[in-house]
Amino acid sequence: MVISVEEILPLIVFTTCGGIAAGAYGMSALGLLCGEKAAEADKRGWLFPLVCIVLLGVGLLATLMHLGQPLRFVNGMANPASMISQESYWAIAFGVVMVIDLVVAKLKGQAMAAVRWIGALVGFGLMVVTGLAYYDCAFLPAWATAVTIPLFIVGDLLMGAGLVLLFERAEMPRTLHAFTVMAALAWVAVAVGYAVYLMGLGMSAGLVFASIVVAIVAGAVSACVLAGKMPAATAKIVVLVLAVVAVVLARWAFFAAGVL
Amino acid sequence: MAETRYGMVIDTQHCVGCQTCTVSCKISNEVPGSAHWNHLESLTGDVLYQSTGTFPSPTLAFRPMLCNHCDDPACAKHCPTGAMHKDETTGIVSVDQDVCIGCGYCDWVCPYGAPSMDDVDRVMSKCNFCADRVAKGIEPYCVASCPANARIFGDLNDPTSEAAQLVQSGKGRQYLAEAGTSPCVYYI
Repeated sequence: MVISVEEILPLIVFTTCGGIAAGAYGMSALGLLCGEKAAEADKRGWLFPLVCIVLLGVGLLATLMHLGQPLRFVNGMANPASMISQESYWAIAFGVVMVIDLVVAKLKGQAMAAVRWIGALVGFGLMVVTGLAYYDCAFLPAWATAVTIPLFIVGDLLMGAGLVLLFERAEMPRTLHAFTVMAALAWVAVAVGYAVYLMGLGMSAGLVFASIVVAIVAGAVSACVLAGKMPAATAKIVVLVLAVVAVVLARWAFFAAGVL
Repeated sequence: MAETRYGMVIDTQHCVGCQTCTVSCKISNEVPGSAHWNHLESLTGDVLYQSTGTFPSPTLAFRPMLCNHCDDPACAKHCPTGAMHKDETTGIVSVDQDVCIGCGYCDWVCPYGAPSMDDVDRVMSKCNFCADRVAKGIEPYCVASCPANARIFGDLNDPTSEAAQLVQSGKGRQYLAEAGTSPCVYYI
């Protein structure tokens, strides 16, 4: 089949924006587990779920651009066996949990760890079904590989780590920077696996290698913060931008290899 | 299993690659825009109309492609809307264009790349074995128009049909059978 760049773009926007939100909830829950309470103790604790809701909303709006008949989008939830329908179910459930998180954070002044954990679990479900939706395309060789699923999960977690850092107070984010380093290393491993796979198919993996380089820089920036060689306030913005760029580069390669 | 299970046997040794089936289908079914329900592939190579093999035994052969109307169609299984469906009384796989959202996922999961985007109405379209003609006892356009009589259409559940007999004889083989969709188009 032939598909244009205009048709790929909505898929990139959905998987990136929705993925940042899902990954951020995962990383936020991990932070809570490790004793990070910065965002929750902050008076602006409601801002985190609000930003994630907006990101998921932008992603879902982008999916409408992918549809030939966007006004019929409700029809796309009719078949529970379809991973496309599953993505809808998980995205809606994730959105509902985030709204609850927002309301609780606004009313109580801080987020409830239980709500954040439920958000992380539902967000993880969204990451998995997104990966499975592409993995199930058995006759698109660039997608039908086991690497596809971690490509979405680890990518989302890396971007999510970057977003969570933005909401942490400067004196608190050491644990989250450590998570970012681990996510970047995991991303490098997954991306190398995918690059090797693409090359095995005779396809170009240039963008994936570029993604690997950018992810290494993101991890290195967080490592510098951990080593006390860089101010956290500056680093968190840099890490977020680099993480998103790294994942978008690889996803562009992924979608282009699958359908162009 | 469907009472009737329409299928087709295509004899690649008879096919001359003229694409009359492709054109006949496109025109007669008024397939819109750039959509196509039939197309041709090289049987032995990657490039259509380029021979394979070496002298003195070069080969130039073709595999006409269309929806295989699978018994377990991947398009219907993965369609989020249920627009892709298999008629249990005929075995014909069709798309309900009034329900389809045009996500294109059926095309991604189909082993044969059969669903084709109707870029005029922005919904999926596909071969339906000319269901209206078949209901009247008339064979599909691609079968009727083939100058080489390479296509044999019939009920695979009717042991007296020529198509069923060719399948039963073992002459016809499913293409990409490993996909597990149990296609109803066989190739000789």
